[in-house]
Amino acid sequence: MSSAISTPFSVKTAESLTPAEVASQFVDHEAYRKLIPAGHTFIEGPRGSGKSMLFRYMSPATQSVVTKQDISKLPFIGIIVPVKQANVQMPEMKLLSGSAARLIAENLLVTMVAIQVCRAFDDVLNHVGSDDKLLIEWINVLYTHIQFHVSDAGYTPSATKVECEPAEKLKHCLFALANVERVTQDYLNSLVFCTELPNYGKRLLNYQFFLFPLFEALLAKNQNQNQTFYILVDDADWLREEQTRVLNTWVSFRTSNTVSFKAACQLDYKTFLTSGTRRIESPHDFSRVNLSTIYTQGSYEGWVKNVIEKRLSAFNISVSAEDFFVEDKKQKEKLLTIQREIQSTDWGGPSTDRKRDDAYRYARPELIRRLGGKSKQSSTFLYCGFNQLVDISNATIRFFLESASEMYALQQQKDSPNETHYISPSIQNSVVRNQATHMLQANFDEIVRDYAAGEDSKDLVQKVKQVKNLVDVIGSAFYASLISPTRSERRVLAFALQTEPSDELQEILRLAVSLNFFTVSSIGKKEGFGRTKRYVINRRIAPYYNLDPSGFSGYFWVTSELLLRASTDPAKGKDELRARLPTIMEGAQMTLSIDDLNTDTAFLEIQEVDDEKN
Amino acid sequence: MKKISSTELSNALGERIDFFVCSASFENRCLTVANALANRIQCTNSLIFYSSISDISISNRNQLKSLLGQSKTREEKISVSSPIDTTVSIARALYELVGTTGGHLLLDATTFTHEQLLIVIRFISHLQGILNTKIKLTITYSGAQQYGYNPKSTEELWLSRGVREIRPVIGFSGRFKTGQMTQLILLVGFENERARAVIEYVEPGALALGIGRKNDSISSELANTNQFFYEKLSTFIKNVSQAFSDVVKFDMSVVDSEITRKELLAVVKPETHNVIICPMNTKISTIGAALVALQDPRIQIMYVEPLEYNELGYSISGTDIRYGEINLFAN
Repeated sequence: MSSAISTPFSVKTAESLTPAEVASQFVDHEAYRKLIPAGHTFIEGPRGSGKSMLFRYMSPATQSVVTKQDISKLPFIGIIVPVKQANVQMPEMKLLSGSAARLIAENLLVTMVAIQVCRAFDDVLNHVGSDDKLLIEWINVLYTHIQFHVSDAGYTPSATKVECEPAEKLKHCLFALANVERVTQDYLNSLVFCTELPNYGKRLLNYQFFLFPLFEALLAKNQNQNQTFYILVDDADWLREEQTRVLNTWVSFRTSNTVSFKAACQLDYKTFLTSGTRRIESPHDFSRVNLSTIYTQGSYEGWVKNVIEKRLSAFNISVSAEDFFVEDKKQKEKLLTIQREIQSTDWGGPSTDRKRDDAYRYARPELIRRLGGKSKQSSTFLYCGFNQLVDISNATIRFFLESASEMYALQQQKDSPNETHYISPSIQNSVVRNQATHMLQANFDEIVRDYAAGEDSKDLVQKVKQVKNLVDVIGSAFYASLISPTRSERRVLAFALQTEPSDELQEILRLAVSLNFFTVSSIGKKEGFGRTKRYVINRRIAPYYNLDPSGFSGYFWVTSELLLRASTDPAKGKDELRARLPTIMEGAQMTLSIDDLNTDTAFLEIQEVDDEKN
Repeated sequence: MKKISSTELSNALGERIDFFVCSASFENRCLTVANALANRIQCTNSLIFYSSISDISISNRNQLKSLLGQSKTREEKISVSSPIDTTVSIARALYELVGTTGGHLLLDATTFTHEQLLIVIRFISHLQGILNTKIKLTITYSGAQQYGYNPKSTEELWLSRGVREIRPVIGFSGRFKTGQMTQLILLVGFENERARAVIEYVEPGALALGIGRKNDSISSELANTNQFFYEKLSTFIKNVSQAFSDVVKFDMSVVDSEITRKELLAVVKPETHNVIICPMNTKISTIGAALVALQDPRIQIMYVEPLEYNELGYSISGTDIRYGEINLFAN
């Protein structure tokens, strides 16, 4: 039985969209402009930040639809290699070592790329048409090249008529390459329980004599001398180490005038070593694009707005994103009242000559404080409104879409049988708060295998608990700052390390980043020379601590010793924070004295610094 | 497969048992079948696999050795985290036990991890298929009366936590075609945190959720006492269905591997998709998944290794045992 639910926000994988759907849903943004120039590139970004969609937009079929041009005129031909749609994680690969492992890995990778060249051309035939003369020539080149090399290597070629249609030729190419792929996988499968390494029996395909000459032959047919091939490797972090080294070897070649590799990763890329001893480096061998940091606040919000409105329009919902994800009217009125108060002489909190800036800076924190009651559990602040939801999504479009999908389903249940034209504030609030709670309480669900390799799982469980403690203390500190009526910068969402972290703390912080509780960046040290790290909390968990996720924020300077203690004794950490906060506000010079609360010393030194854009 | 009380198992099995293979575990269920057959299999060649070295596990292992007879019982330590090491150990131990002579092998599947059980099944199929060893394979499975007990509150019921690694099972890596969409088939159990993790990891184009029939519950006590887990499961399925555009739910047997096999065959789409099955329900349904993958080598089986198990409160043994002969090469 099928239970597909229709929603404008369903997270359909990019691979399942047609070129026309990609063209209609895609919204241009800065990352795309950074990928267009030739050259090897690594794109880093969390799951759901739009990497696959970016690649789909760069495919020749989509580019032809968008530009309404033949492929001969396209500046680049983007061949997507979706690593997750290939069998790259076969554990049997570990039964090989040395040159056998490398050769088999390369054979599989070149076959994958060649298959995707065929699929890309087939996509153009199916969705754009078969009148393109260059495409027909390219299919002929592909067909001749593949049939020759596959049969020369000892595989059974596909039996074909001498003359057949381009689509038929592509089918034969795919058949021949699928045969190579099948033989290689069957060989690997046969290694299990073997006592001796069996003979492979055929020649292996490689980049130097099979794949690169193919690209050269294709480009030779095009009079557009500026055109190159881009190999778009999606989920490159899924590759095993040996396969990664093969890819790095290809990146190390100076081939950008023929082919450039653009590799997208979510998690840590396994290695930057090549199959030899060399290491590829940025910017010498490749450039980097980080989707988490590339967005300025305004550009990400504008992009999400365009994406959402396109999706709403496709569902015949003709409202703006702001009118679909409505704010709460009463809450908005309260906010306006507080803003007027801040700009008047009645305001008793910190103020500057710029009253409008003060109103922006303090109004929402003050609203949250007034709605908070004595305990943060009793807060009635509603997280709603398009802008708030954008902020909470933490610059990851998929988080926005997943939340929106859940909100839509809940709203539909209420509105049914009528159509849904907006999401109520209470539903928006309920979903983001539940997701924040789930994210915090589901630490153990995250995939931590890269950090668990070689470790005893008990140590890892202990570290995860320490991460939870740390996040809780930091979240509580941020809330305490937010509701403090006399602090000049109440909205704090980050901390920076004042002292060098120990190995233990480094591991905890690294794990906290890998579990997506923080993003990390480098800033200048407080003393003015050298660099240190700053950790910004994931705005998705802001609702759990009743924080204000919007706009710019300040950050605390924190000693590493404090953080380490907070990670093992969070209750004490929170108590000390509450006790020290009045002193902290005064900006008094602090020293560490965790155990003695009677002294004038305190353990946090707060420097209120306007954050650069996240 | 048939259901029987543990006191009747020995009579029900009837014929001679040449080899007995089981896994020692922190769960007391690892003792149920051995207890039921203790008098019969003292003269049988037995093999105890074990992974954990916790006090409970060691105690259970010692009890097993005592039940099975020290002189004819071998032990073999197998890894939880290293599939290559696990495979080598399992292959060596089983080959030494069964070799090329063959016979009637009784495999108590109850407390293996899903991955370990799959590797055992894979090697037995290797012995039968490649080495032509004549093995009659009978599986036993001892159900739980209750999963998760002695919590401080119902909300704190848990069986396993966290995800250490997600990986294809060695020997069941499948055969994919690059560029084909992935069909992920989850045999969902009570541990739906792991299910969510594998969905996020694989990012399938098509998703099918296999849900064990409630009426099929292994023991009559289980259905009622695990309402908490069923409700969590329902919430999980509803959430996944909201986020995913192509989700199919199907009922499956968790008490008869052959029925599970047929039900899976009706769902898998290997002609158009790269198919991954991730079994997370009973070991009986896991064997059903193995039968499908042995029949169609294109299909991959995936395993989700948890970070930790609730060793002190995982399960309470039931009194019923399921058993039946398994033909690894049935079509």
